[in-house]
Amino acid sequence: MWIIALALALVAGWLLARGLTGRWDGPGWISVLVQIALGGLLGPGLASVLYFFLSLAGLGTSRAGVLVMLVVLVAGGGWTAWPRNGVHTFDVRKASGWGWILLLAAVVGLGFFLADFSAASTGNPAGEWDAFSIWNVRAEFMAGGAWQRAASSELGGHMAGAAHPGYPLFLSGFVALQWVAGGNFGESVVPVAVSLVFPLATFILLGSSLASKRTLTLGALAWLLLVCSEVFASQAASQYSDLLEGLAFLAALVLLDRAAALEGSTRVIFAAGLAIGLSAWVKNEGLPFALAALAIAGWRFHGKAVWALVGALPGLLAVAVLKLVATGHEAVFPSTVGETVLKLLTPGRWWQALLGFGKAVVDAGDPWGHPVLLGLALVLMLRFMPASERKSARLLWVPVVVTALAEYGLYLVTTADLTWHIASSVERLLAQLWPPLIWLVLSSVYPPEHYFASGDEGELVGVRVPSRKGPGGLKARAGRTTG
Amino acid sequence: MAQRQGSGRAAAVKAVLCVVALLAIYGSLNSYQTSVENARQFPDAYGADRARERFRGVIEKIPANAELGYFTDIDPAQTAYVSTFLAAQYALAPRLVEFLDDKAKPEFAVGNFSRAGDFKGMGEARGYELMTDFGNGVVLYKRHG
Repeated sequence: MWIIALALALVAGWLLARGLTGRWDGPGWISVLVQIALGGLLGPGLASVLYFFLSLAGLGTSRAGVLVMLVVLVAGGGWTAWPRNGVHTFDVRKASGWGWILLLAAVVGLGFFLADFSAASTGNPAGEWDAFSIWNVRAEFMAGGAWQRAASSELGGHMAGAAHPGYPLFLSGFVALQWVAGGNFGESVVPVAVSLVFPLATFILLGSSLASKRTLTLGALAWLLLVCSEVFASQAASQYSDLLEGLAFLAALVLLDRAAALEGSTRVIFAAGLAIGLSAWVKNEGLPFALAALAIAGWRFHGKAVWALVGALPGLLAVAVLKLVATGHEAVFPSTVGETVLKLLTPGRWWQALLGFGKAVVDAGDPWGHPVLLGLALVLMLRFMPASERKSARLLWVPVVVTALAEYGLYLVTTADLTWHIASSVERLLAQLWPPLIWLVLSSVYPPEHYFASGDEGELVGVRVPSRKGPGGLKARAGRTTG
Repeated sequence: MAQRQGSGRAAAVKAVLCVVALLAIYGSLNSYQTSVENARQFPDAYGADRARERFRGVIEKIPANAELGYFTDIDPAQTAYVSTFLAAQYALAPRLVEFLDDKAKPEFAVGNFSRAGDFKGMGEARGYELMTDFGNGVVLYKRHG
């Protein structure tokens, strides 16, 4: 039964993504992949938010309550996806031979990723340290009807690093609702399955969104850079929230970019808002990202940005309520301004935190297949497009940079031993930013086809057409443009 | 001339694409091999799965909403002190596990021991009587009075 609950959440998410974002540029299968990947965030995210409020209402252990909630979510997604009039872009993009070759290579890499995940999950089905000490134990409290304990500093014996009252509950809530629906409390199969969904959705979203925005070749290259990123692959089976946070960041950027491409489609802005709000419901690091992303939306879309705010409400509301009901103090935050200032005035901390991030980047992959070196080779060879063509994408760096600075800032003021804090978390923080960084870099370079002779390149054939039947009923009109 | 330069650039781009694809696959293969080796050397690295088995008897006897005191014979300076506590919390949730001290004296307590010893005496010293010794280092206690 748990797998039905998982499937319902994913279907609801897919329907919602389909209804809100419509058809994406490129072949139909790429459009479907983007929608499925976005659904991998939106469905579980909204299910988790609803389950949190269900728990607050005392119905968190009711199987019927959870199933009804999921059915309502699917119905809501279906209502959103119901065809209606609208204007959508629709390009038919023929992939070059290189696109298919690289896609094949990326699929082989994904095969190793899946084998990696399987080996790690078989060896440690309960996940890594934070899985059984934070995320999954909170899921057990929620599924066991003791959600208050999931938001209390009493959890973890008051030990710093184990007790985090007010930590957002996206992952824990989503695991818990499946345990309740399946009646299989505590079984590891649920968090293992969930921890596979989010990195897979990230892979699909990274590759397919770039394939839609640019070319299949660039999408496949992005995929390849991600599969060789040990900083990403090694986190997948940990059952942590960091890759989920990375998915939320990526989804928010992709949707903001898409909304800009559609000249401020309110439905896509709303979808971007959903992803932005959910990013804050995943981890505390999502809060600075959400604020920066909402500011960007305001800057870019002016009055229409209110739809981003409306979309962000479910996630932000859940976070606000959780912070209100959480009991106890977050152990790693300084308790006085004086203590904060004292730590900030210690130059060694600035340097040590910087070195920590630097080391994490160096350790992000094997020296021979290091994603940074491979990415650098691609940038040097493909070259950045002129600044004028990257104008809207440049703004999207802001939330990522703000988040990185916030993460850096936490190291500066943490009350925990800095060496321990950096060693135990910096790779995970990098893993959150990794997919968005790959997307931002590769969406700014020329596609390989730009350098290929005519006949070897992919064709970009497309026009903007009004739809009378909605996202599913579009028809392409051929019209050759420059690729 | 320009066409030749263009075809040279195209060839270079294709060469880089091939190299990137091969090295990326190599990188993912390497990551997979590391995981296999880790899983082989450190299965259930923190004992979370083992804890589920060890504490099963406690779960059957104590209600799900209870608070449980906790003490151990492991030295607090050892990493295992923290990991075994957290594994116990994971195994016993939604029961809340807390270290026994002057403030925390729940009705029931569990002892989590790494070696044989005077389990009864250790409980008595904290004001608890031994209820059940599960024979695997896990002992259930009830508060006196």
